[in-house]
Amino acid sequence: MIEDDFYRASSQFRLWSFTEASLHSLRSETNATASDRVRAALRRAREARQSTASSAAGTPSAEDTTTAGGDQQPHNIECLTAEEEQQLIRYYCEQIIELGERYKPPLPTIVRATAIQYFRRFYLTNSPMAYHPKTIMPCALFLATKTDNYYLSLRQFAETFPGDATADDIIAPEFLVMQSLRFTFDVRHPFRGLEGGVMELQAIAQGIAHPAPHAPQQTPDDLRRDLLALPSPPPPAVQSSSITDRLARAHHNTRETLKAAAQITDAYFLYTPAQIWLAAFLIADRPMAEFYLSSKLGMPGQEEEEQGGGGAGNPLYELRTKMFATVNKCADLLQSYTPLASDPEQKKNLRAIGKKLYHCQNPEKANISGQKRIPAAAAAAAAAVSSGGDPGTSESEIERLAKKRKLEGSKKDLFGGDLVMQRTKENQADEQ
Amino acid sequence: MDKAQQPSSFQQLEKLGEGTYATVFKGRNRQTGELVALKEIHLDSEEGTPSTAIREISLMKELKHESIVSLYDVIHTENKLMLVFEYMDKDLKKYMDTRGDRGQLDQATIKSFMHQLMKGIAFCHENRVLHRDLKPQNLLINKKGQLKLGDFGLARAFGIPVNTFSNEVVTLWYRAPDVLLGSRTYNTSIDIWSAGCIMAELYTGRPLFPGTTNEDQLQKIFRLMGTPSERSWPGISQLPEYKHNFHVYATQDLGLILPQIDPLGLDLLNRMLQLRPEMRISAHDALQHPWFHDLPQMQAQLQQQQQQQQQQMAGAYGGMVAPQQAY
Amino acid sequence: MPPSRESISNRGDDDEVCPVCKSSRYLNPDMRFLINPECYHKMCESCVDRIFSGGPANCPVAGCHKTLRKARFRKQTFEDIGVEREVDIRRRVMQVLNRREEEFDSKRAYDDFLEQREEIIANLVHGTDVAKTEGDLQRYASENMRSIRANQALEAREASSFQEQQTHEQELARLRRQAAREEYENERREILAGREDVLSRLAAGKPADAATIAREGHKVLLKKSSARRSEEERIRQKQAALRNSDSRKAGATAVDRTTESRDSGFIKGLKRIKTPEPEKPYDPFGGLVPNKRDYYTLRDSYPSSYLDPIRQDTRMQAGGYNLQEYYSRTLMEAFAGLGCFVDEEVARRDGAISKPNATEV
Repeated sequence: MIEDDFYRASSQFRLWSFTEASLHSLRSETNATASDRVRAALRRAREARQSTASSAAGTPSAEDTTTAGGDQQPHNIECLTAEEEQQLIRYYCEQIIELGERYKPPLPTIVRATAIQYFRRFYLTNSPMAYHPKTIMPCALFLATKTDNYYLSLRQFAETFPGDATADDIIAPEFLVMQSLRFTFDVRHPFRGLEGGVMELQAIAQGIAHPAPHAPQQTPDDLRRDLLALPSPPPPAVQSSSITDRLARAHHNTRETLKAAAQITDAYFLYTPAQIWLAAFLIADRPMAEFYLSSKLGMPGQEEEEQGGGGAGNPLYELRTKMFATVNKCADLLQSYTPLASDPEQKKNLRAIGKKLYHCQNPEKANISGQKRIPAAAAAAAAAVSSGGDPGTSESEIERLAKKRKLEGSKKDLFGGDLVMQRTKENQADEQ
Repeated sequence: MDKAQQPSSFQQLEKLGEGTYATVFKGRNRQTGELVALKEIHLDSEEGTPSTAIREISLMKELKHESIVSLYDVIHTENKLMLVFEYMDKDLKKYMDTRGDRGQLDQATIKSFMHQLMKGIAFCHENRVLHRDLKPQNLLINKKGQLKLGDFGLARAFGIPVNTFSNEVVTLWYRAPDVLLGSRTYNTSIDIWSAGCIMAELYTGRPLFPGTTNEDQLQKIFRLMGTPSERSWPGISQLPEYKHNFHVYATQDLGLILPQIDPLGLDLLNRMLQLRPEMRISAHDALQHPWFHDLPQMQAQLQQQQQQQQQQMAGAYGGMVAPQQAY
Repeated sequence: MPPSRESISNRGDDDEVCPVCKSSRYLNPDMRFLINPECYHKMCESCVDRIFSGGPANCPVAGCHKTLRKARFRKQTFEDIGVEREVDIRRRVMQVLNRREEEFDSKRAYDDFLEQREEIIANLVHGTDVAKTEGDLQRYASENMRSIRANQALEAREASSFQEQQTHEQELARLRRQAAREEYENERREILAGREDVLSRLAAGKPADAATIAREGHKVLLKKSSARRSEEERIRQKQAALRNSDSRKAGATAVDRTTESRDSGFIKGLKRIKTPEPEKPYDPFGGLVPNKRDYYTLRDSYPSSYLDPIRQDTRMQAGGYNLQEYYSRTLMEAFAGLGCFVDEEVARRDGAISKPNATEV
């Protein structure tokens, strides 16, 4: 179909659409690579500490450790699993939605949604163990304000942003994020599509809608009659209200689904925006959604009776079964989402993951933008754990970590330069 | 792909010009020998990567069309970002300076260029992108006679209602009257106005409305197109920059200052240069205008010309490099 | 002939001796040596006169049995006779194998051609495979006579000075400017004349007629200017037709070229020059139908409590806002990708598109 080809040209389809299997294997791969790196890095860090402790002793080189000491103590370091990483990422996605409310005026839904998708795309090829979500999240959100034309200066943005992250901290991983996004910033959301659909349904309700190109036999009055004759959606929907109210309610509920469930599940990776909004609409008002979709594809009965040859001449009708199945599957995915706040079990689980991450954070990646930020990163790591309300992390533990990081930071050259470029700003600050 | 490339895989050659927010160099792909344009963006802004750069990258990653210059790659080095674009030989301004009689181009070339320009604009508009800065310096020409839209630094997506845009767009000379009057709800029609100004310039070799200030620009437009009124343009008096004491000019015949243009071309030009944005022809409709109907014949003629030009170019202009700004 | 060449050919040792008559330059300072490209044996001018004035004769050098004609004797350009010979061969081969870069599909094909030409020259210079090479060359020359001549003519034209071309262009531009000036003068005169006419008629007529007369005067003026314009148009069309016929002629030779080179196949990688296709009607969208959609038919307006205020706001409209664009965008986004089944299509293209690499690599 012509509209479909428009979507096929998008970077979202070209680069960011996956099958369930390919998505799963990509994440496992990322997790496995990151785990290996964390183990190796922690080992190097320990050896570096030992060598500084006994400075007279010969320094073991990195090669020695990978070969000879390779399997020495991997059991000491327990890395996150891919599933645990997912949990963590989910938590931060919800944080982005909440964070948007803190701004005055609140950040537009679309900016938050774009940020969430950037964030999710970023963690397809990066692990939270390498780059803590706490450092990536604000950067993704700020980047989204730029790409969605919602002007906000970095200073303004940083002021409202909770925690002690400075403007420099926020912008530090920008290049890393842009690169991981493969420089594609255009996210195709389902929100505007929903507006289009509702707009057309309103026209149908008023009996002034044009029939769909592949169902030309429909008259505006047919469409209106069919819409009004639809069975009510099952309770808890309010019964016997006007079609306008019903549409407005479905519109609102669909939007809510799109704002949360569609963002935090894998919907964007697995389905197209048109399928996503229709799926959300299906959850909100199944009879109406099915009617609307059918009206586009040609009615099943009519096709056979009036055109004789079944839907043979109608390419859309042939897709009918597949389309309904896909939208339904997407609806199942959206419905599987439960917000973290409403699930104490998940919350508890998350706290455990936070603790675990605290121990398996790759020390070599901690300083995205230089050493002076290391204590902040440590604090952030701790904050991530305690943000669920967990007082478990002791002050001394934070200090210990900070010290450890500082030590490793000073030994940075030993491990070779950081992959991430230094911010020029800092260099300039040093010069001045 | 994007990140695997080392900057050293491109050899940086001479500087081609300064873009809106970057410096453009000629470059050569070390592996294939292919020429490219390297747009170097400095990342020392207070706000991180400039949003103009991000916007341009974002749009260029989505817009793939024969009449739009292609973004091949994005590369980063220490403290700069490098956009790798398809190489084009000249921008339209330089092309006009070196070719034709005092910048005037021949009929066939004008028609071909206008067709490609309108195709590029139509594609942008179809994909909900306003270019917002169309001018001869931003239209790139190659030896094959292709014209492509470049420099999307000011471009942006549109279509959301009640969206306010900045009115600091488009070089003054090509700026639409609605923008000059302070409209922030302008739309695709501003690109059409710019295209109309460019079309006239192709015939005369001179900018149609070379204003010096916002007021002067409006006056130059009104002097030729007539001063609009609430009757000819409902709602105009509510625009921020509208003055009730605008000097009232009568509408002039565009054909008088463009004696070279044929009646059909004049008709199309008049439809593009409508003061009232609503009345301006869309890019789609412009492509269907009868002026373009003899394009296939014109193109055959053009091919012939080009062969001759290429020979001439090799002889007379060989090795000449024109600075460009349009990436 | 430039003096430098002259001096090269006349230079030489004072004791240079003619291999035929053995007279030496020492005794005869004006003595000049000539060669014949048949065998390149050198002899003095008086020997040439003596032996060949009566018609073709054998070369007097012992062991050389070439038949030489007086007319082909000439001065030697290079001191080294080997170089002299190679240059001659090169010139002859290049005159025949005079394909131009733009005739080839690719730079590579052109380079191959250049290499092939060098090989042929080398063969002839060093006497390897001479018979076959000469045969090939001759066959090619007879098969491609027209394109060879065309390219020779082209080269000659290019050689004609750029200066000439430029003055010609300047002259044309001057004529154009003059024509424009004249036209402007004519127009002005007509306007003035028209105005005078109106005035005189106004003076003669009754006041009530004034408006009519003024209107008529304006009409006449318009008619004249449109007549002038159609006259211009006629001239332009004529010029265009002329140009077209030029291009047709060029097209015709191009076709010949293809048929020739296809027969021979001696040179590879030549562009297939297409016969100009019969002119297709103009297709504004390259085969696509604009605004054709599969999932919806766009209305001019949609009921919406949210959008209605905008539709009624003249300020929005005056400023250029167009709700149509909003309608078409939202409906496009409502359906773009509905029939795209990501799992199927992505699985199909897997392998074609590489997965994003881990950034840490």
